[in-house]
Amino acid sequence: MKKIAFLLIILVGTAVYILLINNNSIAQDLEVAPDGLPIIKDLGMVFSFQGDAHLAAEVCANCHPDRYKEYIKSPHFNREDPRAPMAKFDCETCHFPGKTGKPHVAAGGGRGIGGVINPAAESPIPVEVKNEVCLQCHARFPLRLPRIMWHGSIHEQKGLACTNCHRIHYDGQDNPKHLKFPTIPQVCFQCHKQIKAQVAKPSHHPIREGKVVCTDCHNPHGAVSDRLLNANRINEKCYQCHAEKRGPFLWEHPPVVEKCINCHTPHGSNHDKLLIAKVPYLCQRCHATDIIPKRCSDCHANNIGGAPNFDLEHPTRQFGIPQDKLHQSIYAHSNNRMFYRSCLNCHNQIHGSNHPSGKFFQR
Amino acid sequence: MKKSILMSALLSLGAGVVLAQDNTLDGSVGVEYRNLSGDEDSSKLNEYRDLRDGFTGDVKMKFRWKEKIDVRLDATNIGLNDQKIHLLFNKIGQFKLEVIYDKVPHLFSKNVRFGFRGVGTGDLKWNNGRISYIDMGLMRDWLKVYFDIVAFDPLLNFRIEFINEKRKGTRPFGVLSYFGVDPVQTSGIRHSVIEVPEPIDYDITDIRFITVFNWKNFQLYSSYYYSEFKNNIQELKWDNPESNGAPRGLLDIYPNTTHNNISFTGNLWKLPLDTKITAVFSKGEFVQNDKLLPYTINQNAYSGTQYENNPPDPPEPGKMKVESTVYDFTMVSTPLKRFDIKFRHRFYDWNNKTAIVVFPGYVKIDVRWHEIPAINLPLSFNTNTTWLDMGYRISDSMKLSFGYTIDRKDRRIYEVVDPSYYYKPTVRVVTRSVDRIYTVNLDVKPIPWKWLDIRSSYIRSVQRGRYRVDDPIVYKYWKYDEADRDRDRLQLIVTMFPMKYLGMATGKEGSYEKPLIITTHIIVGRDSFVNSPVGLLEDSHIIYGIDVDYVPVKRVTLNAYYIHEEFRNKQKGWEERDPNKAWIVEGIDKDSTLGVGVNFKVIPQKLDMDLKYAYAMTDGTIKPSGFAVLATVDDSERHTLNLNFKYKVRKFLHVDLGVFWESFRFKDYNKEGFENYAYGQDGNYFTGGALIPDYNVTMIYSKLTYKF
Repeated sequence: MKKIAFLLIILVGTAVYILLINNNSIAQDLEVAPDGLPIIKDLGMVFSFQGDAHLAAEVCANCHPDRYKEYIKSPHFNREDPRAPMAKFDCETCHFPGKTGKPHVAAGGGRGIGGVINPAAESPIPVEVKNEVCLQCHARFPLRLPRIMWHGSIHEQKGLACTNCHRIHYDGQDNPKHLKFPTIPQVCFQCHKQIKAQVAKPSHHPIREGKVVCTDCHNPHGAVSDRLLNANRINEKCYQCHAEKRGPFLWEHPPVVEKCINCHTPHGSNHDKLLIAKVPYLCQRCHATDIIPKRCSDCHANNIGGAPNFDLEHPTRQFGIPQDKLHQSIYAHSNNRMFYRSCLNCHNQIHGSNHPSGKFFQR
Repeated sequence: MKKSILMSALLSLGAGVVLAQDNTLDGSVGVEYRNLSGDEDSSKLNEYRDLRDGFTGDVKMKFRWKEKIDVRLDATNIGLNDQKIHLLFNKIGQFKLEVIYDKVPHLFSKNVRFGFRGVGTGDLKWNNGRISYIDMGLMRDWLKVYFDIVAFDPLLNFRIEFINEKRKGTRPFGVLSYFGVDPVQTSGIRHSVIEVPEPIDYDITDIRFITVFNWKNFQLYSSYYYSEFKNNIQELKWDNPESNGAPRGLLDIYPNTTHNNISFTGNLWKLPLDTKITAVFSKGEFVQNDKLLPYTINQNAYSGTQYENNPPDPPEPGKMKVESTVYDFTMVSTPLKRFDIKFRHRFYDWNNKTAIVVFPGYVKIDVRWHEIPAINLPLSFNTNTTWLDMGYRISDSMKLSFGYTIDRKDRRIYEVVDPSYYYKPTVRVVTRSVDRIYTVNLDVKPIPWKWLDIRSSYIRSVQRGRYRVDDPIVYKYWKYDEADRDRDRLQLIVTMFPMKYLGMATGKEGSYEKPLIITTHIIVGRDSFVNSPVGLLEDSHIIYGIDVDYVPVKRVTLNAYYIHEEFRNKQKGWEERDPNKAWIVEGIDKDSTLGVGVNFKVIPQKLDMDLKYAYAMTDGTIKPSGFAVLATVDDSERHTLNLNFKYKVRKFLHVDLGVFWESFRFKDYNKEGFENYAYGQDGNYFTGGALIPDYNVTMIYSKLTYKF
C-alpha cells in the first residue's frame, strides 16, 4: 500500500511539475523538425532543408583533408547503410543538423561560423547539444550497452560528451567502437586514475592482460544499478562470471549475499583473492575478536614461561619455525586460524554451503 | 562443438574472400617468436597469460564487399593458452553476427608437492606417503555468439546472445584432516589443515534475448536472460593422511543452479521542460535443487567406539529459490534555462523463498555428531533508494550541483535458533540501515577550447541502523557494512591541456594536436564508526596522482604517471566481552604505481621505437597495540619493461624486435621461513597454492608482420 501511495505521489508530482512550471530551458532550444532532426535556435540556425542542396563531403574535404581521409574509412561514411550520416546529408547531418553548411563555406569557415556545430569534447557549445547530435541515431544502438538510461546517469550529470570517449571520424579498423584510445580501459583511465593504479596490484582481474574490460561490468552510457553496473545489483554482475557462487545455498553468509564488495574489491588489491583486507583481519571486522591475543597469558594460561595452553607447538611442528622466532612476530600466535587462508583454511565454503553439516561453512 | 563453429566461420570468410569480386581486403598476418629466460615456471608470471618459448601469431583481416558486407577477423596469441579469436560478419543495415572464442587461463601454483592421487577428481586418495608434483590452475574456454538484427530499424532492433563457458582444472583449497580426537587438546578436536586441489569442471551457458522498440519519443528495451550453471563434480572426498586413509572427509562443492531474469526499460523523452522519464521493471529467479549429501561419511563419527550417536539422514530442504525484483523510476528535467533536476527511486528486493529446515544436528568437520538442532536461515532483504539531484549552471563554464540520497536497507529476520546456543552467527541483527548521502559537485571549465577542466565533489554520508538489542550476545554480531558510521569523501580531478590552435591539419588523439596534457587527481575519504560494539573505529584513505602526456616534437611522444594510494583501518578489541581484549589494531595498505613511456619515430615512416616501463609496489603493515608490528603484509614490487623497435622493411612487411623484462617480488609474514612443505605422516600438508612465487623473467621477441 505504501509503495502504491508513493508511486502515486511521484506520478502526480511529475504531472504537476511538467504542467505548471513553465520557463526557458537550454533544451527547449532544441526542437524537433518534421523529419526528426533537432533545430538549435540559440546557435543562430534557421531550420530549413534546402531540398537536396546539401554540401557533399568532398566540399568539406577541401579545408578538412585529414578529417576526410580518416572519415572515408569510417562506417559513418558508408552510403550503403541507411543509418549512416553519409546516407543522409553527408557532413551536414552532424555538423549542420537541420540546415545547410553553405553559409559556413561562404564565410570562409571558422569555429561556429555559419552555425557549424563541433561536438568535440573541448567545444564550448552545450554538452546537451553535442550529445543530441549523436543520440539522434544512437539512442537506439547498440543493444549491448544501451543508452536508454543515459539521461540522469552520472556521466551525463558530469557533463560528459560522447566525444570525451569516442572519435567520430576514426576508421575503426582496430577499434570498432571508435574509441579515443586503442583499448576500453585506456579510455576510462582518462578520468578514473585510481582504477589505473588498482589494476596494477598483485591481485587483480585480468584487465592488464586484456581479458576483461571495463564494459564487461559497467555500462558507461547509464545503468539501473550503482556504479553504472550493467546488472540489477553488484552480486548479479559478479555471478555472471562467478556463477558457481550465486546459489541459493542451504547455509548462507549474510555479507556475501548482500554485497560481494563487502569483502572484495573488484579492480585490484594488495591482498590475495581481491580481498579488501588480509585475512584474518578482514573476518575480524565482523567476527571480533578472538584471533589476536594481546597478553602472554592468552597463550600461556597465566603462567608466563610455562607451557602454552593451546596449539603453539603445532605451527612449530608444521612449518619448522625455530623456537627463538616464536615471540618475535605473529608466529607466536600462529595456529591454523592465522596462516595462509587463515579463517578460510577451515571455513572454506564461505560463499555458502549446501552440505547438511555446513552450518559453519566448513563443509 | 566450439571448434566446428569456428572452423565453419573461418571457411565462410575464406569462401567469401575468394568468391567476391567487387571487394576490398586488407589486414595483416604476424608470426612472433619468443624466447624466455629466468623464472619462467612461476605461476604468478602466467597467472592470466601464456608467456613461453616458441611461436605464436596473430591475424587481422577486414574484408568489405560493395560497402554492403563487412567481415572482420581478429585473432591474437594463436596457439597459446590465452588465444582469442573474434570474427564479425556484418551485412550492413541487415544483421551482424559476432563469434568470439576466448581462452582465459588462471594459474595458481606450479610444481607443488602433493601426497594424494586423483588430482582433478572429487576423490583424493592418500598415496601412502609418495609425493608427486602438481600444477594447480584452471582454464576458462568461452564461446560467445552475438547476433544483431537491424533490418527493422528504427522501429525494432533485436539481439541474441549465446555464451558458453567450460571451466576445467583445479584450485587450491584448504580442508581439515585428522578427524579423530586428540586427548591433548582441551577442545577435544585436533584438526590439521591440508591444502588440496579442488576439482573444477563447470559448464555454464547463458542466453539472452534483447528487443528494442522505438516509436517517436518512446523506447522500450526488453531482455530475457537465462543462465545455467552445471558442476560436473559436486562433492569432494579425501583421505586422512594421518591414518593412511580412513576416515574420509566429505565436502559439498558448488551445486547446479539456474537463473532467469526478465526486464523492461521504458524511456520517454522530449517532454515539456526537456523532461525525460525512464522506468525499469525487472524480475529474476535463482533456483537450486540439488540433493543433499549425508552428514558425514566418517565412520568414527557415528558408529565407532568414540561416539555413539548415529546421524540420521538429513532432511531435504525442498526447492531453494530466490526471487529478485527491481523497480526503478527516473525523471530528469530542465525547468529553468540553467537549472536541471533529477529525481530517481529504485526498489530492489531479494526474496529468499527457500524452506526453513530443522536439522536434528550436524557433524562438525567430520568428527562428531552434535545433537543440537541446526536451522538454515534463508536471507532476504530489500533496498529503497531515492535520489534528488539539482544542478545549476552558474555560467557556461561552471556547474554547481547538489544531491541528496536516502538509501534504506531492510533485512528480514527468520530467527529460530535455540537462544541458549552460543553460535548464532547468521542471525541478522541490524533490521534496517538508513544511509543519508549529501553531495556537492562543482565542475568548472573556465576556458573553452583551451586548457583547464576541474571536476570536484564532496560527499557526506551518515549511516544509522535499527538494532535488535533484545539478546545481549547476538546484537554484537552486526556486520561491517551495517555499522553506524559517518563518511566524508572529497574528490578533485584537474585536467590541463594547453592545446594548440586546432588547425586544419589535425592528427590523432594524443599527438601534436594536444602537445601537453596534465591530469592530477586527489581523493580523500574517511569513515568514522559510531559506538561500534565490534570495535570498528575508523577507515580512511588518500589517493593522489599525476599523469602527463607530452609531445615535444612531432616525432616524440612522452607519457609519465605516478599514483599513490593509502588505506587505513583501525579497530579495537571487544572489551565488553573480555577486558583483556583491550587492544587496538591498525591495518595500513599502501601502493604506488609509476609509469614512463616514450615513443620515438627514429626514422619517420621507417623505424619506430617504443619504450614502456611500469613500477608497482604494495606495502602493508599491521600495528597491534602492545604487540609486535607486522611490517611485511602482502608487500610486493613489480617492474615491467617493454622496449620495442618496429622496422618497416617494405610497405607490406614490418619487423618487430623487442625485449620484455618483468620482475616480481613478494614478501609476507606467511611466507618468511616457509616452503612448499610436505611433512611426514603425522604432519600437515601444504602444497603451496597460497604462496605467491617471485619471478624475474626476460623475454626477447621478434615478429614478422605481413600487411595486405
